[in-house]
Amino acid sequence: MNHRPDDTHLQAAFDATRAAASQLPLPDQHARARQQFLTEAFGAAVSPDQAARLNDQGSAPPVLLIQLGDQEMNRKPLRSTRLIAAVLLGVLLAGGFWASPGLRALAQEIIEFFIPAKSDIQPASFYVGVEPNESGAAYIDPYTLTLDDVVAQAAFDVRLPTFLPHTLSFKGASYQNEGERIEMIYECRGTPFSYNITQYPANETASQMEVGWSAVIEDVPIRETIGQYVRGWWLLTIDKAAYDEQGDETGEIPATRVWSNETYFQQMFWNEDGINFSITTASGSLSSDINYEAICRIDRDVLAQIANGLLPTSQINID
Amino acid sequence: LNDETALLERARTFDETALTEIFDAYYGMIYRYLYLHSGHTETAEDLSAQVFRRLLETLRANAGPDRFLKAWLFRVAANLLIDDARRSRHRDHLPLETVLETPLHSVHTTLEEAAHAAHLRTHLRLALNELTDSQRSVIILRYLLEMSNEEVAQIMEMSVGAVKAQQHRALAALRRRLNDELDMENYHEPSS
Repeated sequence: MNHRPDDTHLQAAFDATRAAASQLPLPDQHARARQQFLTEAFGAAVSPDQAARLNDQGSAPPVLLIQLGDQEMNRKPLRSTRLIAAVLLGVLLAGGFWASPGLRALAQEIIEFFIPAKSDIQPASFYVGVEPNESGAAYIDPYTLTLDDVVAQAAFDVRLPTFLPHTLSFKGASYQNEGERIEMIYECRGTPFSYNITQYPANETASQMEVGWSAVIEDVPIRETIGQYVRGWWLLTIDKAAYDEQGDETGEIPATRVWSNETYFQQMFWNEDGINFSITTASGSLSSDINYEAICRIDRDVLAQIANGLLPTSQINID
Repeated sequence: LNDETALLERARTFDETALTEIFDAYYGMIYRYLYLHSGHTETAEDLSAQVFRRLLETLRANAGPDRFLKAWLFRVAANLLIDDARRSRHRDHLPLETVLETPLHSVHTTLEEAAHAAHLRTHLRLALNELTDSQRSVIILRYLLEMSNEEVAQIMEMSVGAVKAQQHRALAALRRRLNDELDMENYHEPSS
């Protein structure tokens, strides 16, 4: 290092400090930091092992959509296939509480997209097994269109996201000619979660959702308008005796729905230029040991960013 | 790193292997740089995480370096140190050795050696604190992280000549301080 002869002390001090510093960072600290870095980079793209480790450091408890009396449904060892179907159906049932009242609210300054229920606990029902399809047609995955497809087919200027967190990737889109409704599904990589961006002209009806009495409805500025955001979902608790009695038979059994503000499910609604928009949690794991929220890293502010980044295709430069 | 441009291109697509390679290549030296500057493992840990978070943000924005990633990371680290110093000007810090001692006995064969090494480090630490920020950076990069003058110049965005000038003045100040203090201690030792 080209020190002069009288550098004995300086050289010794350099050596001692260099030797000390060379032991840092400690290996476990380096590993922790790398894990954190990859989590921040990918969120969902971490491997299952990494996700499991992430969960070890995680904070949010797992959530259940459906509980069987006081017994957690996912721990029931038998009828597992039916239970999975039940969980999925639970999502659909819970989503089935949608209402479509008139557009009276549109005249107000802030559209009330969420209607608080009178309490957080309400009677409900649950269909064991798969509900019969009235048409008898086989189930077809409706989200088979590309973004180009829906843009080409829709009769209005579809908005596409110009901002998406890296944890989300496009899965598929659907277009319902009746109602001119477009849905785009974005998956949170490496997790069972996905998010649905929906848009349709606000002709006669605006969707409203009944949320729990304790739900926190937040106003969110989105460009020139105000949207609304709610985090939470209805958990279905199924009557255990009725479930056991049902055996392998399909059919409806009594249940109770309980609103929980602690689930991963999030919804954001707004109306802009005569179009209703929503970004909602479209699917997810309702009972898991993995802290998917930490992986997806999608919260109200991220949803607002996505919402603010939705632009008409006519305004997007596509190379 | 070999073919840093290609690696950065892959990193921009959030290629996990590329990002891991970058992290493993530079995290240690960034951490040590921050540690040697601040004297605190917690500060080093916190600021190192911020450096790599800044890298991710930059990559997401499709910005940042196309090459000379190492220099870019060190410059971010240096800026974070400045910000941290502003914020923590009135914060009471643990002395360097309080933090250093626990993990470091293993490099010394005897406690006496360990004590002597700790003593030297303390003096160097105190002497480094009397240098300007720029001189301290040059010494840390050049002599403690053992980089070449060219690398130091790239990181500090100055000419090699300017680095050598800073180095010359800093070494002179350190030498004077250490020789004065340690020679004085040795002089007093026999009578104590």
